[in-house]
Amino acid sequence: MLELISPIGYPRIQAQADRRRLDTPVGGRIGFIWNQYPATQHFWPHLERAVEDLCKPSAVRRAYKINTWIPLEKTQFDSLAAAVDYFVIGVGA
Amino acid sequence: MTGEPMARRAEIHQVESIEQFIDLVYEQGWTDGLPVFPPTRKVVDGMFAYLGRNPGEVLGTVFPGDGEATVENVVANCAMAGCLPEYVPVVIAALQCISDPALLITTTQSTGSASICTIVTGPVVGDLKFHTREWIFGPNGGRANACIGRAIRLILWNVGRAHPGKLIKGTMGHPASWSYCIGEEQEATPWEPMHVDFGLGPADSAVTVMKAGEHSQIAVPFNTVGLNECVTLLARGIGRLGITTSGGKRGFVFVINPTLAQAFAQAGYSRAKLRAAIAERAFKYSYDWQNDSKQGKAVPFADRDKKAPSERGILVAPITPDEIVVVVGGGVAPQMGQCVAISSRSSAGKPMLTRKIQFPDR
Repeated sequence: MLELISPIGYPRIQAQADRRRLDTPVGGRIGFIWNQYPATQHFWPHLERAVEDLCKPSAVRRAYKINTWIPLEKTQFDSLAAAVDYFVIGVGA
Repeated sequence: MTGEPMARRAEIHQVESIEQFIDLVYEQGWTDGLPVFPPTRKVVDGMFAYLGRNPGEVLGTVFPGDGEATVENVVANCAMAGCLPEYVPVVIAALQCISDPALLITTTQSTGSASICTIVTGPVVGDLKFHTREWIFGPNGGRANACIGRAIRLILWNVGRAHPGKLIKGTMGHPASWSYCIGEEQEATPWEPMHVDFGLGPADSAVTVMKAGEHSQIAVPFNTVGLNECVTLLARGIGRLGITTSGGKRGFVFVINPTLAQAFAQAGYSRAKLRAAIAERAFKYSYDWQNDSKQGKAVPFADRDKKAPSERGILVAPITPDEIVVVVGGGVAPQMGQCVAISSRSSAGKPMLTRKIQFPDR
């Protein structure tokens, strides 16, 4: 008979509990940052409309990047960040 | 009571034969596909005795499943990988890098299929008999290379639950991920261990864990082209790898064979001088690479490609010496230099992290 020790690690409950839960974005100010990645060009407008219908934001700001790989200009990002409570960000492929 | 919660202890399984063990491993999903050794009580207890640490001690949390790595489950994975007890401190040091939020291994779970590459440096390389010469990246018969690399992969699999299609979404995978671990050459290197660049002492032993993306071989025939051109060949290697870390920190590892390292050393290059030379030359050749915000205005790919390379301007941030790491290893080939260049995938966090290996007090 072979006695075997399991190699499995179980999720660390404390680590999960420490994750901050977001407050509701309903009624808040929402910003959209989108990289205009070709594969998302049909999807993204639907997502924006759905978020706006769902959250009824008090204000909306949009920033559409012209290149997938490049972060938004810091000054532009700082300006947006000061004007919204939440961002919806489209990244990657 | 305050402080860390008690770690959940490992489940115990019993089988009557090796054949049953093989079935169990695949039924339970304990392996990434390759066969493994049984993590028996005897083997695991031998590792506990060597380490002198509490099996329930928590070592860190492994992304993406937030699995709690304990001495017990780390040792079980080491046993399955075929490790000797003396290998476990190396694996633990690598694990501490992997679970460090400063490294942030999230990019290894993304579509780009980055891997975890571990580089072991210092006296431990000789002590554990790493294979550091021909076919350093394997397969080469070196037990330390293969088993330590396998243990790290199995920990990512069993503790981090890095299962493709579930918690990791890499589109292609990475063939080196089965076991991606090397030891730096000790005897034929003209320089101090690589980790001295990261502030550790030459007598220390260390691991450097890198979020590795592209892996490319570069022939560096210094007997025919001269060392100056060799620096260019190495620098152009960065262009071949591509720069996929825009928005994050970049990192490039150049593993050069001892012959080439000795040739550079004889010509007066220290490791730092070689890193600086590669960086300087890389800047010269950087116009043809991807955009980076640090150079200012973004140029859409479509517009960029309409221009001749000489008209595109420099579109990437200059490579700096601190983004380049030079490691010595591989076969000794008379008059022939060879290099493996590895680029990081690090859109967030550091591209690599180095940690001193702590061995049990004896």
